[in-house]
Amino acid sequence: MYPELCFQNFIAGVRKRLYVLDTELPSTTLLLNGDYEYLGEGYYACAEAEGEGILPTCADTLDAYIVPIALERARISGLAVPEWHLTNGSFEAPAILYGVNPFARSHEVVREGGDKEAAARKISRQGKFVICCQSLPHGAEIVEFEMILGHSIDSRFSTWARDIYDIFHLPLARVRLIEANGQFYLSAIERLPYGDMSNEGRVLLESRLKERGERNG
Amino acid sequence: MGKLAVYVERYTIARPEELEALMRFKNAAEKHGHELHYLFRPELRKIPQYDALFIRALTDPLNASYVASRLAEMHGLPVIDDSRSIRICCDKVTMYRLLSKAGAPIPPTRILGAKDIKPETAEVLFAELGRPLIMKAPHSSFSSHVEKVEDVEAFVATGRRFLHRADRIVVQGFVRTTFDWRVGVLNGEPLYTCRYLIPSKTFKVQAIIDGKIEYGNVETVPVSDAPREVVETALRASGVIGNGLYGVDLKQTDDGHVVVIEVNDNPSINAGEEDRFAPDLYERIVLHLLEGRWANQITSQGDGYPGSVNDLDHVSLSYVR
Repeated sequence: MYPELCFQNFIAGVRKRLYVLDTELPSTTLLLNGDYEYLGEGYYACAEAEGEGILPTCADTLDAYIVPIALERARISGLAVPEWHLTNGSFEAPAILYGVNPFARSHEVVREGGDKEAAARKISRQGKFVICCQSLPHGAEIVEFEMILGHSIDSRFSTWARDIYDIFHLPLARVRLIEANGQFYLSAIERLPYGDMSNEGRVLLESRLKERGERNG
Repeated sequence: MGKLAVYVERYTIARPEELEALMRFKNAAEKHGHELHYLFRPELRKIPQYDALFIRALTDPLNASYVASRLAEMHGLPVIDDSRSIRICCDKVTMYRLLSKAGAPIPPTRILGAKDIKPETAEVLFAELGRPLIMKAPHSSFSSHVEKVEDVEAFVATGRRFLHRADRIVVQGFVRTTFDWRVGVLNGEPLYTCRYLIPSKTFKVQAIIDGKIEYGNVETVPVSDAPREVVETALRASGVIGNGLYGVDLKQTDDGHVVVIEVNDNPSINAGEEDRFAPDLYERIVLHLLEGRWANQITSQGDGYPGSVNDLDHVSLSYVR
């Protein structure tokens, strides 16, 4: 859990790609960014800050973005996750597929009767890399929300937003859930660069930062 | 009795030397009453059923080996390679930054971003670090994405190419030698030492020349015959990364100066090569994982090298911008 953050000069930094939200205590400093992709600027900012109590850590970012690791960390932390397995290509539809490789950028939803082989070839890059396959229950829907400093615009996801923030320490993320039988299951956590954020999300981010700033002077 | 999982990939068992080494790990485990099972990618979710994990597949934070390592850690299993070691060793930018910060001797090094890839920077670096320069992408491995540049045009072209997958790259001064030392280290103790000879047509131990991959020969030497300063420097450098299994590459120049070229997690262990003068290395690794024994408690003879890997005094400071 985060201690209360004491944000300073917040609004001016919101539009920057990377913004360090300093606090009085080193252990409560947060690197605000929406993109911590491995070997990118956000990742290196975390790497250079390691050992100084700044969150998220590089380990946090990889845990969040690598789907099978995110699922297991979430499950251990008590969040609902779907049935999943790792495969070289064989799976039963319906399912949602994620690649585990340096080039993984997308996912594939394969419905009953869909082209499983084509989807597997695409996600595994012609069988070179492993696939994380999540089973989709009958009638399941895929939903997404923007997690912004532990909050969501959509009140249905308030608890999820808080949990993802607490477990993975990412300030901003796009979260994909599987909705089935009236319950949500974590599917993936992805980057949420400021440029990709919805207008409502930007308003929420600025209001959260402003609120914190006013509270903490 | 413990159960050790060894994560392997198809390519791990393609070469007879690697396959034979895997069999020797199994024999070493069984000699001490332990079980050793090989796991392939689709079986990684079985990791929590084991007592320890040994990864024998290429490591990268974005491939399945990192998933294996994190699954083991999340379930409290000892693991080689641990995820921190993978993160550091697979990212040369972070590795050199930490080595430099700890005072380990490395070639003169600069970390560059996209704004630095321009002729003006090249001229400055040629003046400061000499000519040629060595450029490395952060994810370089097995000598790939490591290039020697002689002029401004090559610097800019190589830099732009290396920035495709990363926002930073490494530039170093060139250290000319005819071979690299490789020191295998387990938990701060030397396991084996080798000389990796550099083919005459290139500057690295493995390169594509005229469309064919050229490998340098490997000469294994007993640890006790390796220069003491080489082994000591390797132990210091590996200690910066962690207490797992590493292959530290070093160069010793004609004047005796030793520099760390890199610290590798997941070092090669081929039957008849690395184990030639260290037949007990299989046992040492297995027992380290399953019984938590320190390497120096199970080796039969002292090697005379210091056990502490955190004693980083008396090393020359290099610099990273």
